[in-house]
Amino acid sequence: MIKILNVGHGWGKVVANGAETEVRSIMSKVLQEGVEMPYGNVAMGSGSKIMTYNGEIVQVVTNQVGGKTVVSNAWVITDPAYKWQALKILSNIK
Amino acid sequence: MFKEDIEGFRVLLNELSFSKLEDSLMGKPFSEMEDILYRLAYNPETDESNLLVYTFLQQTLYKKETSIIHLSISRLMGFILNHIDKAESIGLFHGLRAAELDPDNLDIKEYLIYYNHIPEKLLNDDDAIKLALEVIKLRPESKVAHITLSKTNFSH
Repeated sequence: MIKILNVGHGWGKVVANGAETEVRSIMSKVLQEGVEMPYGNVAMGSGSKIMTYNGEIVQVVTNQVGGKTVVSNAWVITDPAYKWQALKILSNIK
Repeated sequence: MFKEDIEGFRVLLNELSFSKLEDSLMGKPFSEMEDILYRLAYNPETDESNLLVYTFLQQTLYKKETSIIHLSISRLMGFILNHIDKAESIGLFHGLRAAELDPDNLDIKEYLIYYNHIPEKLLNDDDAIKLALEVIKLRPESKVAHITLSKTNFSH
């Protein structure tokens, strides 16, 4: 969790001070209500979900550990190309 | 997987009985062995990590260097123990070596692109685009490659 809270992960854009409790809550919401975004290699068990939150797009990455799906990373998307692709998915633009 | 099995493997790992651990895991399909090792490395129920799994896998590399073990270490450090400082860099290192040893493996190339998507951008845009082009040539349906290639519209 410490790594996910790094300044570079952009949480300051969506929550004040990047507070851990709020970030956890956002991540949980993204996992439950988010839309899938292609990520890594599917055959290796990688997946990700995205969701708009406070005007930004949050991405949560999951992987398989011993048969369980666990969160391995999360961030606010800041890369313009990836943000555009995420927006297209969220808007369902083909 | 039974809890007592995992406990047995954990004891062997923690007492550095790597040969015994290897013997116990030998004969299992690789994916099952990897599942056990990843579960030993990180327990999602207790949030506990164990870096000895990295040492164990490194030790198997000393015997025989293979792409599959490098990839396994890469995923261990890049996805599972990535909360440890610089673990993702170690993950990238082993992922790149896996690709060197198995240059035609498109799954590894797709996997490596991950290191460009993370905020730390350990893999730079040029290298990610190069990988995506290699993937898309033989796997035109690769969504990850398409997403990465959209960078060419945003660069410079």
